[in-house]
Amino acid sequence: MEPTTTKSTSEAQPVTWTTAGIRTAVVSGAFTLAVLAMLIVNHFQAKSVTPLDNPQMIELKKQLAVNSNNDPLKKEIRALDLQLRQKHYRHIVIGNYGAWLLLGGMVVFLISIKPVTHRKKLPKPEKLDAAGYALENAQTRYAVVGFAVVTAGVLLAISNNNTTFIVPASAKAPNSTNSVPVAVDSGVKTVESAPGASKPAAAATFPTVADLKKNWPRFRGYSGSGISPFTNIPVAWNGPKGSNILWKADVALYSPSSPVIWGDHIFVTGANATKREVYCYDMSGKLLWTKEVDPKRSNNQPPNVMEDTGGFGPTTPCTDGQRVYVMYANGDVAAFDFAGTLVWARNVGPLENTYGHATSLEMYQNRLILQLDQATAKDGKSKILALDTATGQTVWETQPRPVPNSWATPIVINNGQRDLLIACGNPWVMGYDPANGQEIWRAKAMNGEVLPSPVYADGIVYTAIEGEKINAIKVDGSGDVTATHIAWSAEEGLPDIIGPLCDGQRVYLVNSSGTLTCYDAKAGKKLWDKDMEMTFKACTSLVGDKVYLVSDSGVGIVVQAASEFKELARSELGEEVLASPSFADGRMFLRSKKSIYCIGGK
Amino acid sequence: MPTFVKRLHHAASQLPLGCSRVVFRVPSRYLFLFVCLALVGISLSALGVERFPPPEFEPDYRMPVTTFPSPRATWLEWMDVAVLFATLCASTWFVMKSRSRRWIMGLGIFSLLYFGFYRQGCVCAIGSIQDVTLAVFNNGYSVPLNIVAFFLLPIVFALFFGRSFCGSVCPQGAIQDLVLIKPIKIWPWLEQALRLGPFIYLGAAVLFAATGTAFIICEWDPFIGLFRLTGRATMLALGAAFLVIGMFFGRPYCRFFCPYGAILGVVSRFSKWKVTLTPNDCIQCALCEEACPYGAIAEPAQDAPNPAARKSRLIVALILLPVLTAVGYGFGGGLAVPFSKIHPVVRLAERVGGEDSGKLAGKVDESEAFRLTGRPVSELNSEALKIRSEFELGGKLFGAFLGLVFGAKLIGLSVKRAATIYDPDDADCVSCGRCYKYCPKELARVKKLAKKPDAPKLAPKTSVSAPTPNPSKPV
Repeated sequence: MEPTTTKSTSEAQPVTWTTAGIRTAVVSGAFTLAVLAMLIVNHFQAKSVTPLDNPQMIELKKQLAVNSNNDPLKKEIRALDLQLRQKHYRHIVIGNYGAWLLLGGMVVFLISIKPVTHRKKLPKPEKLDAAGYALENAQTRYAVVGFAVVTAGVLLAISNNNTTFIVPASAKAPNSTNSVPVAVDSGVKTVESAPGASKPAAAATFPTVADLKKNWPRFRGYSGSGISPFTNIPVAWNGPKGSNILWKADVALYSPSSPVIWGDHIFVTGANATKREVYCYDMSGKLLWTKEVDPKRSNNQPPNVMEDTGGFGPTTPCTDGQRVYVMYANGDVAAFDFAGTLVWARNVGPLENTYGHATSLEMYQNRLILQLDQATAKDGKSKILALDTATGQTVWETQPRPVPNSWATPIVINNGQRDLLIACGNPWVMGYDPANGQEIWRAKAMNGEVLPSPVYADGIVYTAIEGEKINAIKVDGSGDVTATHIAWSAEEGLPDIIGPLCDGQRVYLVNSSGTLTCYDAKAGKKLWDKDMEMTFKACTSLVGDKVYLVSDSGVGIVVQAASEFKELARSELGEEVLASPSFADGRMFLRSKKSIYCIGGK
Repeated sequence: MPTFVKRLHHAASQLPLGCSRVVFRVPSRYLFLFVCLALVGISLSALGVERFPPPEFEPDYRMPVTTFPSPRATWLEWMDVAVLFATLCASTWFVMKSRSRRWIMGLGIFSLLYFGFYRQGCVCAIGSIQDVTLAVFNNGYSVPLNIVAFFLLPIVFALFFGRSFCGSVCPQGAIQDLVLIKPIKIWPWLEQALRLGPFIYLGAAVLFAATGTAFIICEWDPFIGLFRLTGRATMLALGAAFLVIGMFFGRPYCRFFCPYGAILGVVSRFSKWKVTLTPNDCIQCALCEEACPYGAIAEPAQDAPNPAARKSRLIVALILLPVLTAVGYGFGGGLAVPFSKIHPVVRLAERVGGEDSGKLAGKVDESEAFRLTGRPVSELNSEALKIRSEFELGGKLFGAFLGLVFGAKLIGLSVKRAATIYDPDDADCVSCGRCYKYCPKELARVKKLAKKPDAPKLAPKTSVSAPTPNPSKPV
């Protein structure tokens, strides 16, 4: 290291440390940038060359699957595989080496650039006077406030992204004071999944659709259609004379709930202000057992109901062949097995309902569906719960429904693509996924106090309510379908209590003042109407090609299900009837205020 | 190198007039040539193709047995703790006693090599925040003691000596310190505002760790990819961005993001022995403030032009503190849904729920795997909602924390400061020692010590008397 001076090196260009540093920094910087560019290119190339996703390889493997003994093809695959792997690993190797090269280049760059940039030069500090200091302080305050505002804005923007597909589930366990130990059921049945239906939970047991259809498991039968699975039902009977009356059995406590039937078991509920009971009869009319829902586990505050119409227990129970599920206006829900053993019980009340809760129960697979519309829409208390039929635990719960208290019963349908839970309230008819309670669509199609339940046929759900319209809503929509999925509407003969009945070609409406109206189901054209000159509360039913009506006074009327009105028969029961008819093989069951009548051919 | 250059300059000054430019022809020329050849030479190795046998397709092919790397030996883990402790001691000594920037930088390079490239950024004091948090909130998580040591040791040192960890022990800090080549100062007002960033990051990291959601500090550590020379493209790009920015703006991650720095900054305010600049009286030359690339030198306080206005601001700030905290608490709950979606269980439940409701098209591996387990969706939803309820409370506390931080900062800006000299800020100073050589009084002290070998070599705690009026030219 012989120091020389610029003057003494006229024959050779002198190189200072600074110059050397700059040149080295330039070279190493350029090298680093080149390596960086190479790594970036290599990164994207490596992503595009993956042996498993190569289209040519996939195609060759397909060919090999067809012709597994094709040796030339195997050779070709092996060669291509080797080639692809070589390419893939080459990129990996380049990446690994490149990382070290990048690091080396950076180190050289930093070492060479440091002495150049860190030459000690005379600083020129600027000092603030009092005014400048105050100004800087003020600027800092504004900056802090600005930063806080920006932070708050960002967090608020994030919090707006609150869309969720998770529905409340068993996080809401039953009220422990209303829960009882769960008994294990042994009856396992095969599952018939409807098209598009969600997969059932493991080990869940529930009846097949076929079983449900050949029984009368809920209010108005399977899916709430009101259609009897049996056509061998008498068209005429006479209660006082006993004509076509197979038997008559007394019921201790009255309620306008309808009987439900599974096999040879008939279940009926009854209630008053202090007592809630379940009755089980066999097909001979013999009372097999009576069970009281344990008052200790109940909400003992009597609900606000219309007592004269049996408002303490208007909810029709339902059964899945393993258990019967009952509900009362005070919010008591319970499950009994077919031997009358309490499986579980809980209380979902108190329910804020003007006339008392009356919505009946629905089922979906192993879930018991409770539509609990309450108070006003603004209160946000209306909801639908799905309980595990084996335990009573909440499986899911809908978001608060934007409707006030209502009395219509929801239905579960399948339109060929998927299962849907359809529930009515004022003003919305809403379709939910019965697997999780997520809303799928809604239509503004109801008004006032909603009592008539919806009915479904051939891709259309029919809803009707006095003061609104009868609406035929296509169920394959999503979102608000009011403007897009209402196939037709009409305004005549609108019911106030009784839901529509559809035989696939025609829709029948009957209002409580006795007008029976028939519409064409597809076109919405009114075909005929007839004043029956009596009042009705029981729902209409379809037996084969006949429509059955039962008036409040117990008069049974059978008319032809046709495009022209034709009355076929008129019968007397001799007792007031508010409950809807239930059907079994060759039998129809009518519940009066005191008894159950089994009507059938002798 | 700088000292060597100084010596050369000194030698040059001894030469006759006209010979002031000292050059070294031969070494420099060969150095340049050597660098070029070396860089090109090592580049060639990248063109090599790794040899490997072609895959076997014969029926007798045996699949290789899967092997798993054995966990790091316990004694090695405790060796890490020992190295941490030793480097903390050394850093403290270099900062507080020997006051040597050169040794601090050397220790930083060692830490970068050991904790960075050898240990690949893990175990790490910054990330240990999350382990400790998770252990506090989740009884099922047992945090290793060496990680607890990594969390506590720098804090304990900060409690006594300030942020000696940041100066030369933290590999993240060291790499940023080394790449700083042309410091550009940030406006003080912007610096002060952005220094609240680490608290936001800290709050978020604690929230996500407490709920068992994610270790976001580790997932978004910009330098881990560089230490490991591999990683996600986003992680590497982030690291490269920080390094490029760090070439001009000193330690951007430390100053504006590091959550552990936020903790150490708060603790350092209460440290027993603080990093000081002038062993004797400050002459208020402001050279140290000019020299500090991190904006960590606090200038002397000036009398406010309007003391009454300052008092009013203080009262407003004091009122704002609980208000901001309450507002943050109130709105924080709104973060529950979006934040909880980062949790894998909630994300899966959202996916499954979206698929079931028909609102999300197709299926992903996670949802299909879940369905194959036969586990009820209700159970998954239940677990997800439980996590979401934790986020509900966590989000509120996070919001309250942010309100508290901003409120406290506004109070701090309204309080009359007592500083009369230029001195490293207790919270912001990262103990890098850069300012020492810029302080004329410090240089004078070192010079004096050099002349008196028997004089006390340790720098005493600063005891400031009345500040000297502003001098003329400092050097």
